[in-house]
Amino acid sequence: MNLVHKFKETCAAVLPICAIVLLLGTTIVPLGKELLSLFCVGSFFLIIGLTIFLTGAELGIVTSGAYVGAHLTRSRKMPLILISGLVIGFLITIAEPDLLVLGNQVETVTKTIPATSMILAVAVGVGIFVAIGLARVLFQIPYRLILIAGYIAVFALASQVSPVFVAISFDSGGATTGPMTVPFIIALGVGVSAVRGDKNALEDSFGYTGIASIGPILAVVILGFILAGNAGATGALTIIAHSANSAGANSNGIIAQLSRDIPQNARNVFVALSPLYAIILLFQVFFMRLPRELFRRISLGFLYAWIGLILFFVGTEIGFVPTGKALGEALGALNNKWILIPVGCLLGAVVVCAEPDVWVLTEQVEEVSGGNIRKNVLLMTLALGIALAVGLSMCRVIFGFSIWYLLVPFYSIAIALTFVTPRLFTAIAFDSGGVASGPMASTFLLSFTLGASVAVGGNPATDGFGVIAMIASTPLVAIQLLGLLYHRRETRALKGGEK
Amino acid sequence: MKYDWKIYTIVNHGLGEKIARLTRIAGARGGTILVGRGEIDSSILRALALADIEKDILLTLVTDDQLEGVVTLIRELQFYKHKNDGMIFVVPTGEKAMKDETPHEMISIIVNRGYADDIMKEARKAGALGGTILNARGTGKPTDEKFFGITIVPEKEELIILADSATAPAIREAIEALPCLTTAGIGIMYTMPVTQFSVLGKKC
Repeated sequence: MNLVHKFKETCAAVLPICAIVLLLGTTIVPLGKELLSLFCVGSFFLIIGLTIFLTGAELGIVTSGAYVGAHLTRSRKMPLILISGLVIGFLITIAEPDLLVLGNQVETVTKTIPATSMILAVAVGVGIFVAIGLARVLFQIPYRLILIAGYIAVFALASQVSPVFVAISFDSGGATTGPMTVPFIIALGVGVSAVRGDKNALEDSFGYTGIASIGPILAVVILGFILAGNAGATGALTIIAHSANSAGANSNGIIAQLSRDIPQNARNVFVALSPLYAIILLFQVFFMRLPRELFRRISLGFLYAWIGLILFFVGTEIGFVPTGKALGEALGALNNKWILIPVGCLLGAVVVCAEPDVWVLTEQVEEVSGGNIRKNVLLMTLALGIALAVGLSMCRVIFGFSIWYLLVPFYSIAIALTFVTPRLFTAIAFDSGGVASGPMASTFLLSFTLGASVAVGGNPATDGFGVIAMIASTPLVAIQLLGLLYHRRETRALKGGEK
Repeated sequence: MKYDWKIYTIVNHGLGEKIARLTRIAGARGGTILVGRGEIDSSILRALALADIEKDILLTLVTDDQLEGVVTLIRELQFYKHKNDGMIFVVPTGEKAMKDETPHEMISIIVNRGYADDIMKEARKAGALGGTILNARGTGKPTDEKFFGITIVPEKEELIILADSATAPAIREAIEALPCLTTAGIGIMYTMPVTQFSVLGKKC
């Protein structure tokens, strides 16, 4: 059955991380029994949580998203489609727990932007870009065009704004595309395309997440302009780094921590999921009227997604954040600092496989392409891309050069590749950029990088947040290259068939 | 060459391609794999909506002489892990069809997307042991609806239920009586005679 199958898959995804961490923690950099046992408990929660969440996401979030998308297109009412896109994008973003944390950090730092206005700006950004994504498909505007326009705007504005906001804005691009929003946005796109009969439908199934993650970056950069000059630029970064550092640092017994973490996460995840469910309910009552059995399955799916996410977040908080930080610090304190680079590559490659949204995306791709683009091939490519991203970030931690030297070439190559890559792969590539920078990256890898950076003596703030921006950019190139390979193989196979 | 038989092999997801490769050895010229979903036989898991399982449906067209070889090959394969990993049955095509009474029937129901689960639930009450659901698109309308640059086609689900000829009429009646299916144009249902049915799984 699927639950057992999913359990095996998540074990295969999470156990390698455990093996690597335990190996490093007992040999090169002794981490202590207490931390390692916390890490094991955390991994257990993570595996169980991920299994339940993926089952629930497939049953509830993905299914309902596809029905809403299909229903919207079939209604053939342009205003309804655009307004729904706007409202859905806005509502699911405003409830994202990561965004709330980020908003609070920004408030403490700048003292001039209240968290609410930052969150509102980001949510409006996502809403507008989801609507743009829908409109693009209806008016048949090339995906490439939107991307080029979007990213040129982002880079042009970001180069003018103070560096604090560059870090915050690229980070909010990653934070908004969290585990609740991504499956729904992906499924919405798949649903919109499913009712189409033309041959471009497959290509247009994906790409919404890629477009949606431009929104928050732009929104925060623009906020940065409004507030330019009155923010304490350098002080800001260190405070963010500190608050990220202190998270999960105190460990006073597993039981005490669980009794605090579980109710807190239960509330956060509930707040995040309820607007989504409310949207479905609204559609069900007023527009869709899905059959009873189907709706029961969707509701159960939401329940499972809720339980799964609680366990997942508890697992990352008690196990992965403190261990990642300790590991980074210990490795950075060694005499041979270069060891950070290979370890970073290795961790990056395995951690991305434990990212919940990565699984949702790869599964949807496999399903939509009718099994033509295999899940494992996509996962491997992503793992390679993220390995490169984390490896390069470790170089940055050691040598301390500016992130612009990496971001500009990667995005330029990614945009250039859109001209030659099959369009389906371009869309998948830009989706995976937002998808790969999910909760695992922003907990485990971020704290690992911050820890390393503190130990090396660099600037933890800019280096730490750089890792997320890097993780979001390397898949753009990696997946598009994969697309080129696929395309060449396919044309060769077709030629062979004709003979 | 006349392809008189269509072999349906329904197995757990991932096995379809392996079997297709092996059937070539037994003489089949190729195969088509569809992806669908079935349900585990457990009422508790079904109530929790956790019983779904992905299935590959392998369709192989064969001639009279190839039929026995291919079917035996698939039945005798060694890589089934459980007692019940799937099933195989053969549908006659062309003039072979409808000549004799067969012990089993394949009921196909094609409906608008979303209704298959409700239908399956009802069919179970009437004695069906299981079913496989495929996603599909309809092209029934003479002119497809246009909306900006996009052609809109209806989404469909196909539900395949294999039943023995004794219970099949009851299942068909139960499905026909479903209130959600009384709207005109919601779907179609038909049956086909089936031979050579057997369950695929590990031999004890």
